[in-house]
Amino acid sequence: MSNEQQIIDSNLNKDYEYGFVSDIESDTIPPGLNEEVIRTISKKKEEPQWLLDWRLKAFSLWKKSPEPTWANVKYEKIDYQAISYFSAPKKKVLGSLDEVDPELLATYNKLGIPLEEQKMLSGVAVDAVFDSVSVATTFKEDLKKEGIIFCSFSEAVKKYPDMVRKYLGSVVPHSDNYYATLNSAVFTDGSFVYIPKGVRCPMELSTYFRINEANTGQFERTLIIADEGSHVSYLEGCTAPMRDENQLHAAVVELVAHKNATIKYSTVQNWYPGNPETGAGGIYNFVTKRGICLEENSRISWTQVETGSAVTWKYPSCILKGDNSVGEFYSVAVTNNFQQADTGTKMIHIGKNTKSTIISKGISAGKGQQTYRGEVKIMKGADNARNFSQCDSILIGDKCGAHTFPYIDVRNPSAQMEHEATTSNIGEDQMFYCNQRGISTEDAVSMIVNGFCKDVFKELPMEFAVEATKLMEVSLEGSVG
Amino acid sequence: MKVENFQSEFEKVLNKTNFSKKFKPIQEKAFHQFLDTGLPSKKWEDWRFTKLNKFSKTLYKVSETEHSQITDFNFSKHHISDVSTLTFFNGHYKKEFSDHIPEIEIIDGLIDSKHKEEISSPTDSPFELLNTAFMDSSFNIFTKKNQILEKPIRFLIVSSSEDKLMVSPNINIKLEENSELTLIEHHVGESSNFFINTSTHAQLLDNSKLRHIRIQSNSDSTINFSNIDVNQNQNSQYDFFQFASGPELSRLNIHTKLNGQGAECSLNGLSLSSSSQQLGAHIITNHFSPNCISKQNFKNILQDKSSGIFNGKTIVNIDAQKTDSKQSNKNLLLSKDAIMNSNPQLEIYADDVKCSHGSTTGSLDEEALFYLRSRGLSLDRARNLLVRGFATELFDIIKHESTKSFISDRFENWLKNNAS
Repeated sequence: MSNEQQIIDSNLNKDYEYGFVSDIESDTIPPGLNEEVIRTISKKKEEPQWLLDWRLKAFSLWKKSPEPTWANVKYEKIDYQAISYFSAPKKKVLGSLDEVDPELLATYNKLGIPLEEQKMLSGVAVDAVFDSVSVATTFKEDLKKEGIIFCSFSEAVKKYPDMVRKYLGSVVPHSDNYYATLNSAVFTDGSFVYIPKGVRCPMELSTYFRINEANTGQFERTLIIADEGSHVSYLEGCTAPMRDENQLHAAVVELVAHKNATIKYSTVQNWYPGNPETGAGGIYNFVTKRGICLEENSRISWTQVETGSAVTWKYPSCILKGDNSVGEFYSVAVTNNFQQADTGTKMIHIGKNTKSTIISKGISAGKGQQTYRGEVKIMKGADNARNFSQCDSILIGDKCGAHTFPYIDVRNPSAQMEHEATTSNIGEDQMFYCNQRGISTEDAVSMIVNGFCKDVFKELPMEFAVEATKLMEVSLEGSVG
Repeated sequence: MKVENFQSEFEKVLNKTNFSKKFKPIQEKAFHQFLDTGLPSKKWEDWRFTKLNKFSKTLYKVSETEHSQITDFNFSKHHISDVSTLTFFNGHYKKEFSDHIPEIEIIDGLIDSKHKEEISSPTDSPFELLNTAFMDSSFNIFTKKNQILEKPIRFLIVSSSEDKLMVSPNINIKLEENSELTLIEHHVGESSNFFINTSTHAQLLDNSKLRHIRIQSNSDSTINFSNIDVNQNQNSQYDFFQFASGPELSRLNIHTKLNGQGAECSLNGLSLSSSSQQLGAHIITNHFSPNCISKQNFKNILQDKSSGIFNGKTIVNIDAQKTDSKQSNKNLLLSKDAIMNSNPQLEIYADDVKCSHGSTTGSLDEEALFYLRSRGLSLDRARNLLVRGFATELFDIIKHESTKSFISDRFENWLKNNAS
C-alpha cells in the first residue's frame, strides 16, 4: 500500500489549480455591519421601501440570535465586522458582450467559460455573477420568446416587484437560521427565474459564481419559481481565487414548484479549500437551500458535487407539501487535506403519497472530516409517504473521518422509510483484483471511486457531468483516483 | 421536580444514619455538581425528544425506612426459576427476600464501605449525578479469576408505594480475568408514581464475559432512567438485552467503551409501548482499540399514542482499525398516532473499518397480511403472527432458558392486550 500512500501524499501537496485573482476596480463599501450599511446597500441597489424594511427586520433579529455551534465542524470565529458587505465591479457593463471588461472576460476564460462561445457551443445561458452584481446575461432573447424570466435578483426587484415580494422568504423565511437571517439583511444580488405555465425551459440555465474581491462575503439570493406544468433545470457552479483570509459565503436559494412542475437544481462547488498544509484561507460555505413542492405532482431534485471550501455547512431540503410530490437529493462530497463538510438534506413529508430519495456519497481523504446530517420527517397527514436514504462513505488515509447523523421522525404508520449507510475504505481485495489485471493502483482507485459516485453523477445534466468529473480529478487525483 | 426541590430531599439523605459516613463527601460533591449542571431541557441535543414534563411537575421524595415494609406484594408473579435473586423494595435491600449466593462476593456498599473506591466517579450527566447524590443502595459484585457462574444473579427492583418516591440504586460490577456472569435487572411495580434512576458501572477484565438482561415492566405511572457504563478490556464480551413494556417514560443510556483489543459488545433491545408511553434508548459504543466488534440492534413496536426514541451512536476512534460495527434500528408503527424518532449515528475517525447502520420504520406489510388472510387466518391472528415474527428474533440472544421463556410469555401477554 506504500504506492497508495505516495499517491495520497502527492495529492496532499497539490496546489489549487484555479487560484488566481483578477485585477478589476471594484466599488466596495468599507468593512463593518450596521443599519447604515444595510441602508447603503439598499440605496445603491435602488430598492423599494418594503425590501429595506424586510432587510432591517432580519438584521434586528440577527443581532439577537446566537451563532449556531451544533455542526460537526471546527473553524475560527468569524468577525462579521471585518467583512465588507458590498462589492461591485466599477465599470458597469450593459448591452452586448463587447462592452464587458476584457479582464473580466479573461477571468471567465481561465475558468473555462468562454461567454462569447457559449451560445454556439453549449446551449447554456449564463447569468454570470461576478462578486455581487450581475455583469452579463446571455440568451435573454431566446428565453424571452418562451416568456421565461431569467435575470439578476436586483433587476427582478425593479421589473417584477410583485412576484419577488410574493415569493421572497416564502420558503426560507428571514428568521430561518442564523446565516439565512444574515443573508436576508445584507444580500446583494443573485438570480431570479420564473418559468411560466406549461413551459419547458429549452436550455439549462446556469450561473457561475465567483468570489473575487478580498474580504468580501458573498451573500447571494436565488429564487426560482416554476409555474404549473413547467420544467426547468438550473446549474450552479463555482470556483474562487486563492486567498489567505477566510471568506464567508452565506447564500440562500429558494425554489417553488407549482402543480406538475419540475425543478432540477444542480451544483458543482469548487471553492478554494484552504492551504493544503495549514488549512488556512479556505471558503466558509454556509448555505441555506430549500425548495417547496407547493402543489400536487410537483418535483424538486437537488444534485450536488461538493469538492471545494474549507468548511461546508449546507442542507438542500425539500418540503413535500403537495400530494404525490417528489423530492430528491443526490450528493457527492469530497473532503481532502483540512476540509470539513457537514452536509445532508431534509425531507419534510406533508402531503399524501409523497416520495423522497436521498443518495449521499462521501469521500474523505487526508485530514478531511465529513458529516452526513439529514432529517426525514413524515408528518401525520402524509399517508403512504415513502423515503429511501442511502449514505455511503469511503475513507482514504488514516487521518480522516466520516460521520453519519440521520434524524428520522415518523408520525404516520402507513409511511415506509428506510435508511442505510456504510462506511469503509477501499478493500485490499478490490485493489488486488485490479492490480492483478494490470491496472495501476492510481487507476484502480479512480475506477472504484468513480463507480462509487456513479449513482449521483448520472443525475447531473450533460454539461455539468464533464465538469464534475474534472473537479473530482482535481480534488481526488492522487488521494483517491 | 425542579432543581430547587431537590435541596430539602438531599438533606434527608445526609441525615440518614444507617449508611456509611464515607460516602457523604462523594454524595455532596455530586449534588453540587448537579446543581451547577441543572436538569436537561429540550435544547440539549441529546434530550430533544424526551418528554420531561411529568418529571418536572411531580415532587418526588426519598424513600425512608417506613417505605421498606413489605405489606402485600405478590412476588410469585415475577418469579423466574433457576436464578439467584436479590430483592430491593422501594430502594431498600431486603435480605429476607433474597437468596444467599456463597460463590460470589457481594457487598452492600452503603453499609460496608470496604470497596468505596469502586464507586466510579459519575460523568456530568445530570441523572448520573443525581444517582450518586441520592443513592440508596450500592451493590458491588466481584467475580474471582476464572470463575464461571452458571446461575444468573437477578436484581429484583420493586417499586410499590402510595407515596411518590425517588429510588436510586447503584450497581458496580467487576469481572476478573476469564470469569463469566449473567446479571438480570428486573424492574417491577404496581400502581405507584415512582422515579427510578439506576446507575450501573461494569468493568470487564481480559477474556471475561458479562450477559446483562434488563426486564422493565414498571407500572404506567413510573419513570425509569438507567445509566449503564461499561469498560471492556481485551477479548472481553458484553451482551446486553432489554425487554421493556413499561413504564410511562423510560430512558436507557448505555455507554460502552471497547478499550482492549478484540473486545466485543452486542447491545439489543425490544420496546413495546402503548397508550402514551415513551420508551427511549440512547446508546453510545466507543471503539478505542483495534479488532473490536460491536453490534446494536434495537426494535420498537408502537401502539396508540406512544412514542419511541432510538439514538444510537458508534464512535470509531483513530486507533480502532479493523473495527467491525453494525447498527440497526427497526420500528413497527401499529397506530396512526404513534411517533418514532430514530437517529442511528456513526462517527468514524479510522479508515480500515467496516461500519454500517440501517433504520426502517413502517407498519405491517399489507401484502403479507393479505397472503396470510387468503390462507384462512383471521386478521388478528395474521397481525399477531407478523408482529411476533418481527420481534422474537431478538429473544435468541438470551441463553438462559427460563428467563427466555419468562420474557416471551410477557411478550405474548402484551400482544394479546395491545396488538389488535
